[in-house]
Amino acid sequence: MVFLQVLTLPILFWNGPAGTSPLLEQAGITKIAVPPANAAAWKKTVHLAVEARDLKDAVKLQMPGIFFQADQASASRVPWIVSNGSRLIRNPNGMFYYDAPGKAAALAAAEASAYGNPASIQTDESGLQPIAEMLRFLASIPSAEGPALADIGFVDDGSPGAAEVMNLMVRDNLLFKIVGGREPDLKLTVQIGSEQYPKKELKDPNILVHKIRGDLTDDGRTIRIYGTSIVVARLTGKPGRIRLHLLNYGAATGTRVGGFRVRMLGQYSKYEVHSFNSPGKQLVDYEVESDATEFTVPELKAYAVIDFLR
Amino acid sequence: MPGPYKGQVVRVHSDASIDASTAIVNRAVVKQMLSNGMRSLTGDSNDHDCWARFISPQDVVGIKVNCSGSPHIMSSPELVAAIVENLTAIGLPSKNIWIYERFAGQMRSVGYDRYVPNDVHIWAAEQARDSILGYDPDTYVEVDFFGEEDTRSFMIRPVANTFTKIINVPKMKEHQAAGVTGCLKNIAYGDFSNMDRSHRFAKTNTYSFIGTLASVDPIPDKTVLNIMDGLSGVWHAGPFSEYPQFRFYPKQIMVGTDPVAMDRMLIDIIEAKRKAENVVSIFDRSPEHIGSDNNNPNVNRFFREPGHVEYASKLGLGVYDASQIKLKVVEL
Repeated sequence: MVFLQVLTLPILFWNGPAGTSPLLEQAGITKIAVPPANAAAWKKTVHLAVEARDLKDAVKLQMPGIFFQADQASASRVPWIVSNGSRLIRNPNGMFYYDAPGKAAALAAAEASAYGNPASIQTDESGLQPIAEMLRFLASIPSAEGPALADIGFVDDGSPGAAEVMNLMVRDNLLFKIVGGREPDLKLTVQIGSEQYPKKELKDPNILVHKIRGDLTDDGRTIRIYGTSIVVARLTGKPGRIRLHLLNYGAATGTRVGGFRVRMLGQYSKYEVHSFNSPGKQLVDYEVESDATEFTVPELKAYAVIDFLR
Repeated sequence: MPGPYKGQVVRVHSDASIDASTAIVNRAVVKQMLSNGMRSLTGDSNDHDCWARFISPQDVVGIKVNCSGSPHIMSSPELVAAIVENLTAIGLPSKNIWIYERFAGQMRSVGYDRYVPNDVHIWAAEQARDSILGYDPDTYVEVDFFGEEDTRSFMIRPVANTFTKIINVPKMKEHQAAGVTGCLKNIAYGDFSNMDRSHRFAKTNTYSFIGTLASVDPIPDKTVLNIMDGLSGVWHAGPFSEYPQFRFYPKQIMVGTDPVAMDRMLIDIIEAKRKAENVVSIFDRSPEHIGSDNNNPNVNRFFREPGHVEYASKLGLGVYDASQIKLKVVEL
């Protein structure tokens, strides 16, 4: 039996008047959230499920995506990823919204879904089709229970410095969860202000995150990605049955990722791919090693969910 | 590598090989230069015997070209066509020949397909940048230079799995990071993914990385010939060729099996040209000469690492000591 994931799906938040409903219907939108003041008018529309939602207490997230820092005199082509992952991890029950025009609307919906948050996505007319397609895709993914998997326990002191460290860890695919103190099942505990990670190291969060990566060791990382610098991974589930979320942050600007390699600790012999706008795509060069599973994702347009079984 | 002719380099020069004013290559002359070079290297009296020393009709041959300076400076299609003609002449089916590079866009701008039989494969590892599908997932070098997240460089898939022999056809160029880009760099950086990560700001790790990559099996065993295209070249701001004033015309090719010895000769050629232009040596490491103005031949983005050639000799890839290199010069 397939249980559809409905509770944590993001939703299109539409500010327009009820007279714009044909636009939404043509795009394939079936459910929206609207400001309470517009709700009565919208609820008269026939084809749309309408929910009143007040964003005045919601926190605005950044528009997800990438940008190249052309003013940096570096040969590196690695772009800057704008991810909201750390904010969604930091406040998992928070009320968030995005203002994401065009293709970014689809990526915003995917990001919110990957982190299990039913965020509101505001977009413009050009974003209706992309978000409609993404919402249909998200609704088609079978639900899978399980907490986020992590290698690192991070003691969050609530400071902006800690926020930036978490942001960089998300972007670098260093899997962490927020903890109150040391947890025995985690490989590393990071507490800013401790002897191992003194506060002065917050002066350069990038170097601090490199130190964290070194302390964890690359061999100890549950997930590694090779061949792209714009894909962020998230793992949920439990040992033996896990779900890998892959977000292509270039999708907001139409950048398809053509093929990249994933190394995941643990042996997983079976998998099922759910890939947005790439139906039928299978993993290639799939190899189960003594301590890890490696495979190549041949294409990632915006978002994929891959379920693995031991 | 370094193959049966360790420490030997044949240089064939012809004034008629290319028109420096138009960059038009004389195909017949280049074919003759290749013939003379191969005969001089091997001592054989006919082309068939020369090529049969290295290639058999059962082989699958990859011809590693260099297109990073295209459409102006690249492994000349006339030279590549002459190589293909010699391979088919010894009985190698043209479908067993692959002309390959990393990036499809650069290759397309050259148009090798117009010079070789239809069933020769013209193949690039990356149709679009940032895809590793053209690389072998099981053959890679893993190293962290600057804390970069992507620490693997994968070998081109057919290099690892399909080719039985490789003919390396680099271009005669200065390189902003490596100092020169000749045989070693073309077969090293040109055969792996994720290479630009080895340079950042003014620092480059080409000193050791080029030789390390060139030593990864099966590259040393499969690379049986190096034919360096010096009909035209680049003496500054390489490996690209955005500035016409930095192109030059040595009007020569070099032939050998020892990539280190050939690159040692290349260093001399680039240094001589730069000296003639009254600009700093590729061995210069003055911080005041580091900058982003590629238009100034005394300014470079990186501390160049031409020492990578000598380093490669220490890995057993060939002879670096000029006094131990036997250079044959053929004038056509």
